[in-house]
Amino acid sequence: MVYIIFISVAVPLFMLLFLMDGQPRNIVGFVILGIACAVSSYEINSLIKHTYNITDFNFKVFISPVTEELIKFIPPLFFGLLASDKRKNIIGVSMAVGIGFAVMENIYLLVINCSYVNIFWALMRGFSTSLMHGITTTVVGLGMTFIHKKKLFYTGIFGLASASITYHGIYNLLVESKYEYIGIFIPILTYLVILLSARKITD
Amino acid sequence: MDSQKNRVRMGECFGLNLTVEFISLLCSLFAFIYGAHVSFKNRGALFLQIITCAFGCFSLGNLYDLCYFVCMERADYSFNIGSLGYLGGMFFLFSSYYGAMDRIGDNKSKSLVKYKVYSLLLSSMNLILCTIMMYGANFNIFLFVSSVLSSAVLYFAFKHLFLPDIENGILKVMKQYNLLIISLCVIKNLYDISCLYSSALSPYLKLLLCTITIFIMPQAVKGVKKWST
Repeated sequence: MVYIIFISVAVPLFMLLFLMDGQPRNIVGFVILGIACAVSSYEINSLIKHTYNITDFNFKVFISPVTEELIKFIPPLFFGLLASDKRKNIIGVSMAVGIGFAVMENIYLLVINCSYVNIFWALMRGFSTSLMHGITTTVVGLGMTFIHKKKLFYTGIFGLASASITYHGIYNLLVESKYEYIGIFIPILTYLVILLSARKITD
Repeated sequence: MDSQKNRVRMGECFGLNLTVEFISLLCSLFAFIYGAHVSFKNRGALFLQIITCAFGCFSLGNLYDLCYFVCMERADYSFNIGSLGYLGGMFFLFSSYYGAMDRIGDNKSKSLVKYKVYSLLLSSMNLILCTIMMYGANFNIFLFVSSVLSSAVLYFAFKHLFLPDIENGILKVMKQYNLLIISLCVIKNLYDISCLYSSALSPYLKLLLCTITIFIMPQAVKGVKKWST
């Protein structure tokens, strides 16, 4: 099922790539890579879950944040290494990877749970989970701007990856508990804080 | 009667732990917000920006611990996702020394080698003691990685504490900051080990960590202000 969704979503976007150039082309390209990351993480997660026989809750709180964040970390790393280390470009493509990942995850969950999803589910997944994936990938992407300052990069990137995994873990922990609403609210609040502080710094 | 007493004691423990988790989150958030306000608003020193990121990671670790405690109604003292936040914080502290501050304080001259040896000895001693104490309980590879990292941070903190001032008194103004970092690393290691032994000391050590956390960022800002004026 996951490959059928992947083909039906990624192929039209891939066709769009030939009509674009510059940063918009990068953004669409990295959305497709984000979708591919979601497929890879689905495969790796399933393998780990079945091999170690982990419960659903433990898996969502302790394992999936680590695997998903590490996989999402790869495309911005290569972009930083091979294309550009400019902050504006890297933040754009990192957010695109996160959003692409969230799109694929949302469609997959919608297809397998289509009998009991509702508008609240769509709003929650749309605003909260997408933002969470976008924010965590952007945080790691920020570290890529230091990719050519070796001394700062090697140590800083581990710190940023740890921060994004922890953030993802907090979100999953809250969403899986009775405090689901707080979990949903956290990415939205973080996004607003980042927007406001970025505007303040620019001013 | 006994079970009633036990329940009361467990309730007290829950209350104490919840308060400690909440206080530690507030303290690290204070350090993070204060650091962000000072270092990012006016494009401050890179050194301060990296320390701010470290406290951001510590805040995430503390937030995870608090959320876990509230959701599960018990603390998780094993290595968990929250521990990655603390590990990330240690990576940033290491980065602040290795990538930003060390080149200012160390001019690589031969006369400074003895200070580096002293620092290396002290930080290695910390690592050896931590490893021995961990072997007494359940040896945990992630906690070992954490103590390796804190020993690396300790090496630079000791080095900058011992090195004579070679440039404009920068190391002199950062002495108090380095002392605070040394105490942070040592108490963090003690806290990790006390958690391994499920010791009743853990919440008190965490409170001590909070107290140190509050003072680190203002001290770093004070030091950086002195060296930039």
